[in-house]
Amino acid sequence: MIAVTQADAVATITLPDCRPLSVHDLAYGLELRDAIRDAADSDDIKAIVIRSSGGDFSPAASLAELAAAAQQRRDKIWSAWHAAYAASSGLYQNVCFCKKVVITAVSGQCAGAGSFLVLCSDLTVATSDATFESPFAALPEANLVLAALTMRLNRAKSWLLSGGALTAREAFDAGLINVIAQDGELDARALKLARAVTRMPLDGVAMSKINVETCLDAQGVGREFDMAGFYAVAMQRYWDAVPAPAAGAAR
Amino acid sequence: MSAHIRCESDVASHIGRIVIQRPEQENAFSMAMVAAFRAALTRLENEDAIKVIVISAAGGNLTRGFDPAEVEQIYKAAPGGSSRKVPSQRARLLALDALWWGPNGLYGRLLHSPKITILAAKGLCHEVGLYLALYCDLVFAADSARFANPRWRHVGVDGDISMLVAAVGLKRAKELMYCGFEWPARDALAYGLIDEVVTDAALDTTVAKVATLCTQVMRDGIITEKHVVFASLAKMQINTGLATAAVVGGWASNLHFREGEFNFLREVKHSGIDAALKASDDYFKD
Repeated sequence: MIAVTQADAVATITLPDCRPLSVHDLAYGLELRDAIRDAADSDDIKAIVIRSSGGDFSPAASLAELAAAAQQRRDKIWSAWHAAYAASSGLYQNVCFCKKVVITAVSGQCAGAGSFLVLCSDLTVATSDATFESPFAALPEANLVLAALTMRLNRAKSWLLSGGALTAREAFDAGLINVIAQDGELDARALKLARAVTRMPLDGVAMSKINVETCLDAQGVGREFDMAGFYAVAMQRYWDAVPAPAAGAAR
Repeated sequence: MSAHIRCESDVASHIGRIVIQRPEQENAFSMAMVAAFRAALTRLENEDAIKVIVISAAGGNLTRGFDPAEVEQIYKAAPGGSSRKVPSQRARLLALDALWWGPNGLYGRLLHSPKITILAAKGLCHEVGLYLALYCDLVFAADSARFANPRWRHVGVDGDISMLVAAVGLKRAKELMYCGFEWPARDALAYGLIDEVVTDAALDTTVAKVATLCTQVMRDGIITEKHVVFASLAKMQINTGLATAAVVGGWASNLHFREGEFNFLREVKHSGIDAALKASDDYFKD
């Protein structure tokens, strides 16, 4: 399902979209994690671009899908789910603490896991029609410290609590994305950023990422990832308490 | 004291001034200028009547950064730094700590100055200029100001980044770090790096007006507020960022360049500084 191409020190990872990640499809999460880890481990790669092949980068999961996902992970929170999504071995920490520069290219709707991938990635290019929904309601592994460092605390809290979607312009002004691409130029703009990264020596890329990692560690990003399992348990109590939503019910 | 750093103290107005004046070299910092800048800080900080230190530059640029002609000299005076092969690791760490990041380094000193520090930024505000903007209390920029750290493209991100991330946010910081972006003054204002943008013609009068305003705060008030800031910086782990910077800087001075990667110092050795700078521009241009 996930395709990886490689050219001129840039690995491009193309996935259908991020929706399976929002409902914690374990196989899908591990497949993407492995693709990122393989690219990170390669001396031939300096930058990694994550893009979707379809229209929306990360379509929103329905309430029923989120409820079903919660049921599926209920007995795996501290085992398979944690390993695939929250732990240092999991998808998001492999993006956030990647040894190479990770760029997300976002078009259309970006909800749940897509928004969290954007937060974990180093740089983001988005189309002007892209919208960014908060990942915090759906994902226990979403990292508020990372959001606060990226957007500033007041904006991160507003994003978390309001549940509203940011337009591309709003996301740019908040510091969530770096570049708004014109129609048809998303991939070219993402590649342009990647090419700029590749001019840096490979040792410099790795050293820069370690420098950033020490900053993230000092600010508590790692500790927030450590809390994900506890947030998942708390979220599970919510799903256990509410009646099962009807299929297709709006979030 | 370097002739390229001028220090003035006006007790009557409570304002001290440090002027970078090497315009023929776009105010590139030499090691002597760094030492003179620190000496100027010491002199002004020791004067009880001085409340505000204004940092400005002669000519059209704040600074293009550290003088590339002196890059290889940085480690010579430190222990094991004059080795015929490569400087020792201790020379790298000690020199970077003393010059920039340690408690007596230029950036450590500026960040922890007990006076109110105000920067007048214009033209090139590269490398040292970017850090001056980050570590001064207030930054006023002319329309012509451009903020960047081109050095990072050559060797990677080797300085403190904690202050940059705190000022502009993580993703904005990364475009400056990884992609060699240069922010014009208006972008720097929008991102939170600086406090105000004015025309080039109005820069000096605007800074003078704000400096005078700041002098109306009583001395005990200033020192109290500054120490509240120092406590906050410690809690925000900015001090950790500066400590890390010397270590990472030591690594950056010891990089391995692979085939096809641009090695600035090798270009300087083979072709001279001017040719190396031109080759750098060609290599990194879009």
